[in-house]
Amino acid sequence: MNKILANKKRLLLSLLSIALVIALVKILAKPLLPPPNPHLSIQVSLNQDQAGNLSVKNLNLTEAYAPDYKLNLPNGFYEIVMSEKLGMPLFSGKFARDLVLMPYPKMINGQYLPPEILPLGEITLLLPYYREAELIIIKDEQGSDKLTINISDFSLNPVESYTKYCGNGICDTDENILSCYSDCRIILESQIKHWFNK
Amino acid sequence: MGRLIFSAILFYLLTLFFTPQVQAAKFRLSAPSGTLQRGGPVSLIINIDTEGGNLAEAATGASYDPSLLRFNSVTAGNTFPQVSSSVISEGKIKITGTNAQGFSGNGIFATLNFTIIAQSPGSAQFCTLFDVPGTIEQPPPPPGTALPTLNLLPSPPPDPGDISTLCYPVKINGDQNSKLDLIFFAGRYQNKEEFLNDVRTSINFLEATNLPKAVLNKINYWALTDLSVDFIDYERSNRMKRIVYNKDVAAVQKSRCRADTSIVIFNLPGYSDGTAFRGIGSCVTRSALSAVPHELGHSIAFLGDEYNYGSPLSTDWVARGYNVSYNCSQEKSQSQTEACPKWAGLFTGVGCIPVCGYTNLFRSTQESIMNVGIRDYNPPSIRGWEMALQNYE
Repeated sequence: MNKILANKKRLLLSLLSIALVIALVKILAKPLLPPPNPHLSIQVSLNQDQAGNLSVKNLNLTEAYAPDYKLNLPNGFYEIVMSEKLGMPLFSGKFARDLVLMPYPKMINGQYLPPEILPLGEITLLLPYYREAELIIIKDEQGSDKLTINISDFSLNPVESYTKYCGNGICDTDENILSCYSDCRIILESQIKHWFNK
Repeated sequence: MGRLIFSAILFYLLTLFFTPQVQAAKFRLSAPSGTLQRGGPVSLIINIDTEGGNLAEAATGASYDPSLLRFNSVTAGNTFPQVSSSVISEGKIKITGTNAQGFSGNGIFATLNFTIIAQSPGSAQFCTLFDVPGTIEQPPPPPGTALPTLNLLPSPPPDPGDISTLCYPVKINGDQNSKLDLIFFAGRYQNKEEFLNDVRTSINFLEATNLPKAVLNKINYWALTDLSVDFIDYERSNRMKRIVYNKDVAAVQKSRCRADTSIVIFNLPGYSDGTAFRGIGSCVTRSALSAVPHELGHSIAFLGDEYNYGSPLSTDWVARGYNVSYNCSQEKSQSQTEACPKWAGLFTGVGCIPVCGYTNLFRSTQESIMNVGIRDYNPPSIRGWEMALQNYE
């Protein structure tokens, strides 16, 4: 009788342990920081001199969507990393260093025009807005720091957002099929199509 | 009487001398691939080879089945800037191209834009080229050559979105967080439907290339339906003035739809042009929609041109950190049929052919969409696309 009770206890403890491990994994796997605000971006205007030195012209908060900067430029780029105060990266990406113009294949005086590099003196970036963001570090292709921006040095005036987003065609991270059917049904349809094609 | 005969002969000879002659050229039709939708657009590319001649004017005829297609327009390729069409009879049109400076070589002569009106699903050949007076006889297609064939789906899919939506989802392959979101902007359009039709035609051009589905499925296509924004700008370099797009305006507009890159279509009748800013965006005129895959090859995949600039790569480019594009090689191989060392063992069917934009570089295939003439990417260019989009799913 005692043996059965002991076995039951052991089983209960095992189940509790498994539940505890699952709960811990779930807590740890959950992002520690909330996602960026989908409707606000940090707008950074940079000056680039002829020697390639960068400086901040302006930094403010604006109501806009940020691109993802995930295009994998092979060269002629700067890398950007945004991190919180403990150094944990929140966002990273690449952006073009120069304006490289590739002309249309049209003959001018019997010759096709080759590409050319036009000066890109001012570079404007729209970065995702994380409330916890502390630093923006811009590196060159070799990974050397070009510019470090401490976001707290700038006053980010809060944007009073009155725009109605549902119905603009974009299924935002704070929208779903129930809260905004018109915007999110396209994503749902594409996912269903994707699963059927698998 | 003798004077009269002499005058008549002289008049005849003068007529022969001054009558503009449409000179000889070879034309080839490129077939679209995939399945098409009733009510949707379909575009056919006519390629030209002047066979060494320098032509100021060229013409060909095209016949199509009027029960399957409605002819809408013809747009110029990259060889003859002015292209016009005239109806010969029902289902038969003559396409004439002119180039004031003359053109020699091969490339895209024109693009025929149709709407599919076929009532029943099925498969049918629907367009062929024929000789028109003043051009040499078109050779019959070699055995096994695929003529443009229409493969229709039973019914059109539902419209993806509401045309009144600011960010119109033209073709969505998945969540915006994991896809490259490419947005089309309307440059000087008055009509939304016309613009969206051109966007669909542009996407068709890209999807008609040999880019693998795995690459194409990484892209979402959007259209900004606000026609009031002016994107036009002019190149401010020391070269000739030409239309480009305003990248700062495009950046602001892009952020209205959470897009990652953009392309502007300018509605400027009779003007064929386009520009790409590497890694930033591109623009084309409405008459040059067939160039969309080429321009996106620059702006998204960082590919170089493969046609001849007539000059070597400047050391300044290399000094500024711009290595040669993935579809061009600095090193040559033992023979033109052997892959350049850069691509050896990676691809089959590639060589090492002199000139890849610059005269001191080498390309992998004779023709490609980054050159002129055909609408497929060569293996290194496809690899360039894959590498550029490697962070997308």
